Amino acid sequence: MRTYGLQEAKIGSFRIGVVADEEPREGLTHVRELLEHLGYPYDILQGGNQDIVQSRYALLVIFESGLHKLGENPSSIIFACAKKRTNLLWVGPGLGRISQEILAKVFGLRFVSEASADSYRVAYASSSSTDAKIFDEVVVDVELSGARAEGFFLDTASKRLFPSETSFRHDAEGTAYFFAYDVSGWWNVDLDSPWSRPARLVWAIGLTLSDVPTVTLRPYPRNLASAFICRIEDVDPLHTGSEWLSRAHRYLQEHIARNVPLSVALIPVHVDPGCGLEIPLESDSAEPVREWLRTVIEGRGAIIQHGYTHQHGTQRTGVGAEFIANGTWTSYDDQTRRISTGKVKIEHALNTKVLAFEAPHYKLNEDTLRAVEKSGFRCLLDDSNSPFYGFRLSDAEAQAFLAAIPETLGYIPLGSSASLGNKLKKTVDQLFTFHGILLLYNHLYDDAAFTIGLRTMEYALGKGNVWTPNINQMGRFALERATAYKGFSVTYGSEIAVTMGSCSERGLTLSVNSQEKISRVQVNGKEWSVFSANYVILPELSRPSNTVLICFKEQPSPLPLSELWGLGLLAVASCTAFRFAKRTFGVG
Amino acid sequence: MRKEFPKNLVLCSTLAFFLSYFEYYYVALDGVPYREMYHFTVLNIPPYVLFPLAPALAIVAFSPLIDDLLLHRADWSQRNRMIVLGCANLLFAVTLYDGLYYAFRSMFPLPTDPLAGFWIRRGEASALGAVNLLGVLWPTWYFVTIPVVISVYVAYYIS
Repeated sequence: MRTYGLQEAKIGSFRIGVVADEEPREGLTHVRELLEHLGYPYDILQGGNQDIVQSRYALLVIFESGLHKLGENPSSIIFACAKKRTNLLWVGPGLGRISQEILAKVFGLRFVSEASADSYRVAYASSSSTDAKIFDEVVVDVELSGARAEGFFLDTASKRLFPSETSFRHDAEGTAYFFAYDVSGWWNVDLDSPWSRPARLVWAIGLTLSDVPTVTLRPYPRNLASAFICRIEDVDPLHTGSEWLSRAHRYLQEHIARNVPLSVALIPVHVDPGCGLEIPLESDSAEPVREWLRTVIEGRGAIIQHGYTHQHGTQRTGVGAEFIANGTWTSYDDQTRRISTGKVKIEHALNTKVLAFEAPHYKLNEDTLRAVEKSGFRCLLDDSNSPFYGFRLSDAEAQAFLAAIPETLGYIPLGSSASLGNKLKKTVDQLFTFHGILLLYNHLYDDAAFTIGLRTMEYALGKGNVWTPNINQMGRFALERATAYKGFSVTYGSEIAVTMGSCSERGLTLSVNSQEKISRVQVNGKEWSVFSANYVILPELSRPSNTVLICFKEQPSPLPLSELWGLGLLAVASCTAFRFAKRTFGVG
Repeated sequence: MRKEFPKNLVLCSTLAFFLSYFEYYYVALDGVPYREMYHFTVLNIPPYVLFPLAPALAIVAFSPLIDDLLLHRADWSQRNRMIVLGCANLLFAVTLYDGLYYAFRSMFPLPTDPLAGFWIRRGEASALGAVNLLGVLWPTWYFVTIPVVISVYVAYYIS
């Protein structure tokens, strides 16, 4: 990927604009989470055609749903933006609404038609790095008119049909990228390659911005590339069988040996109404599992509250969702009571703070979220079909109160074969390319689950530069980072000035894509370490608004003295010291 | 003094090694060594080196002298020798302590250290700067302390 010198950049700001309708849409949510996770400053554009042109966004991500924001003639606005050297990224259908002339000039394409994938017999979108399965969705048929095809649609027999994504360098020296399918939707649906779509989208954003000096807030501390979390699932007070406990102890030791903590999803009470059984975590019979949990905590691990009983009505623990039965949600009061009682039980039995919550079968509604917030949780384990951090905002202050951490690697079913391990490795590879979260969950039901879980962890760590927090550490970092990101803006001239909100976590990292090397950094007016030529690791940011100044010109620091100087100094010091020492020790 | 000197030298080296090891691996903020996270105002030297680290090394380096002073054992010419040897030991210990920090970082780095694998860099040298010798940066003050230490030890040995 190219980098761009600041001397070629005029004074301006770096932001991404998203042209999309704001009504809840999965695709837009995904794009927002992607931009927030990768730390790009962005705006969802509100109307006002001239504003969009004048704002000179570094990149405009355009969805058909947002075209009405570009006025009656979106073609001319897009053309004006392109002339101002704004890079463009078109996602999915709607290209037919742009005039053919502008399409050719800006995207290097000619629109042919737009219809459901079935009608074209499209099965996959294939690019150099990955194949994305195409579902029941609308795709666009285009012809190249100067653009470069970055991928093609394939039919079920792998026959090439027409371009699925293209890039074009237009006359104003900007890049226009086009996806002929909705790359922001259908994430985590293709079981063979669940994250190929976000991978392609991240790659395309990187390509379109490669000519712009960019500053992003890295998703993990200390410039780490990815984060691996292993969650042990559905542990309850009845997990006292010697086979499971022995496996769990061995699994824990293997993780501790590699400095990887476990995060355990714990159900505080096991019930089986059919047998009249109710075993709370504090019961004597649960001591073996309590002992294991205490070892988990001592090994830097954390406990996630996984409901209260993980069942409803006459079901036994683990069988059903807890807060919904037969389509009816439990009341807010009941949910609050169950969640807070469970939290107290765990904290009392294990003498630890529980800050993470996972709803049984991920079934939760707004009442659950309110109850979770009221009970003081900071982290929510979720299945959001996204490989990025998500946040739940408090209504009152529009501030993130819960960090949602998605499961991305899935789980290891009973009796899994080695092929699952290979599939998991491929998914790790995919997630690693775009800094996605690596979260694997494991019930440890059998030895295959033990082996596959261990190998996947080792494979992820083998990638290098991987953060291994427990769930509380990740949740706390994500929330603090979100506060810093809230006020994130970047302006550049000969220096780059970054404004950010507060952050009590150290290690936030600003990544700088520039041809020039960072030579000096100031944080709130005070000199700060230069860790690398292209990133800055930050200290705690205590002010509500903090400024980081990144300079590229060589500071007038003393150059290292030459070898001659060094040898001269050595000789003078030796002679003087030796004469003095000889006199002191009476050497003739 | 003949017996005390090697013992004292070993003691100084051990303490320097321990302090350096402790500083690099344990004086860290979220996995990033403290020395890398802060700019130091006094001669670009971390404050904990000025106190209590340097005084601790000094006490060990001058311990034979302190011992003799307390027991009124040695005469003045002997004490002068002990003072010079104590100074040499202190300079040796401080140099070893500082050099080991960068040796740990370059050879056995913390996995969380962003400067893992790096020997000393320009901005990290103290106020006296650095010398580029054989393509490697060395703090300038090493070029004073090392010859002084070696000269004193050689003179002591041949005396």
